[in-house]
This record gives sequence, C-alpha cells and structure tokens, in this order.
Amino acid sequence: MATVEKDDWVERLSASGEVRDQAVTELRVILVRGLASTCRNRYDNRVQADDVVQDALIKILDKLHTFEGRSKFTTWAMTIAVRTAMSEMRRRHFKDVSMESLLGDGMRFEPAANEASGDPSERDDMLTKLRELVETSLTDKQRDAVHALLHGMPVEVFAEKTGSNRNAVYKLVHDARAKLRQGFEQAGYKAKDISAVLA
Amino acid sequence: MSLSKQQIQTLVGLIAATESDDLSCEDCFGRIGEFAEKSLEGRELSEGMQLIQRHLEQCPCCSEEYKALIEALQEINVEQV
Ligand SMILES: [Zn+2]
Repeated sequence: MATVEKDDWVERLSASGEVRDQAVTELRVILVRGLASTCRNRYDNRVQADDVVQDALIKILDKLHTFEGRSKFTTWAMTIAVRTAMSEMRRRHFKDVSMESLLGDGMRFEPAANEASGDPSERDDMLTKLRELVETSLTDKQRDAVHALLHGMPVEVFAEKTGSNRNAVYKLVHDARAKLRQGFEQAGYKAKDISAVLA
Repeated sequence: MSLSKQQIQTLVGLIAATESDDLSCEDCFGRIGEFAEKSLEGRELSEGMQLIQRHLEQCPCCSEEYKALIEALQEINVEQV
C-alpha cells in the first residue's frame, strides 16, 4: 500500500489553546472553499457553505480519533463536510414535501398502447411485464420507496421521513431492483434487452 | 398519476444496472476519501476499491455525494497540495 501523506492536523486539532484555534481556523477556510463548490448549483442553492461548515467542524472534531490515515486528513475532513452539506441541502429541499402528496394513489402505469389490439409490440410486452412485476413482486414498502425515488426523492430523505435509516432503505430499494430484474430474466428478458427497448 | 416516460426510463435504468452489492452506504462512506484520491490520481483500483465503485454505480445518494466530493477536492487542491 502506498504511504499516505503524513501531516500534523490531528495533533494540532487535539492540542489546546492557540495551536488548536489556529488549526481550526485553517481547516475552516479549506472546508468553506470546498463546500462553496459543493453547494453551488445543487438543490436550488438554498444552502451556503457558511451555513454548514460549523456543523461539519463539530462532527470532524468529534470523530478525530477515528481518522485512520487512509487518505489525507483534509480529504477525510472534506468527506464529512460534503456529506453534512448534502444532507442539509436535501432536507431543506424536501422539507415541505409530504409522503402523501408525493406518493398519491400509488405507482401507476398507463396501459400499453397496443394492449387491446392483439398485436403488442415488444415495447408494450415489456411495459406490461414491468407493471405486473411492480404490482405483484414488490412489497408495499418497496413500491413506496421506489416510487419516491422515481419522483426524485433521495433515499436519505425517504428514510428520514419514514422513520427509517439510509442503509435500510438503500437495501430495501436494492432488493426491489433485484427482484424486478430477476422477474424480467425469468420471463426471458435480459437487462440489456430491456434497456435497449425501454431506456 | 401514471409514471412519466422519463420515470419509466429511470426505473428500467435502475433495474438494468442492478448487481450484487455487499456494501451499505456507511461502508462506502468509510472509504470514500481513499477512493476519491485514487480516482483523482488515476490509480488502479484494488478489489476493495472496486466494491466502492460498484456501490457508487448503484446508489444515487452516495454517487451524488461522491461527485460533490470530487468537485470540492479539486477546488481545494488547486491551491493546497
Ligand atoms: Zn450508498
């Protein structure tokens, strides 16, 4: 494994008095510069770097003992800062969106165009299969999570609004996707076929 | 309301891209800094790093955060090396 640049951030941030204050100030400048880029043109620019850098700094100082040196310290700190900023942007963006209004009366599909004509195209066949799989092979919870995702709601926000957590919802959606894929395969459609026709 | 054509395309894209993924978002987050540095340096990815890549390809949240992280790192690396 290549050696990771050795720096004295952890030491200085763990110190006391002026040394620590100086390190915090330097780190803040770096984080703000990086976050300004992160916050630009995402989720309506509702979050400014200055809004979140304080929260990020608190988390970083809190987790200082978990820094393992797998990356540069500033990279590690920036991962925490970016995640803090993204979470806040997502939260604010979807603050007023209720699950009821988002999900409405459930995930619905238009009937395939040629469904009644007796001469369905391949595309119609696949759409009919997709609808059938969504309706029969997914649980209600999986359907809701996939539906919310298709409306642009990030998994993290869905988790927060439904009292779950991001890892669990990611797994829920992933299992749903795997089930749909498996259903297509059992019906003789390969992933590349459905993408070629429907995507 | 019925799904729009675009939503159906998104759904199909998600289905087609589905591969096994042993990582959670937390696992991914724990090593994303290392992954970002390796990617920025154009280094070959170890097996562990390939698992991160696989998670990123399937997880919109982590992938969005990763893109933002890369932008932020590029921004700070311009001056601080
Ligand atoms: Zn993830």
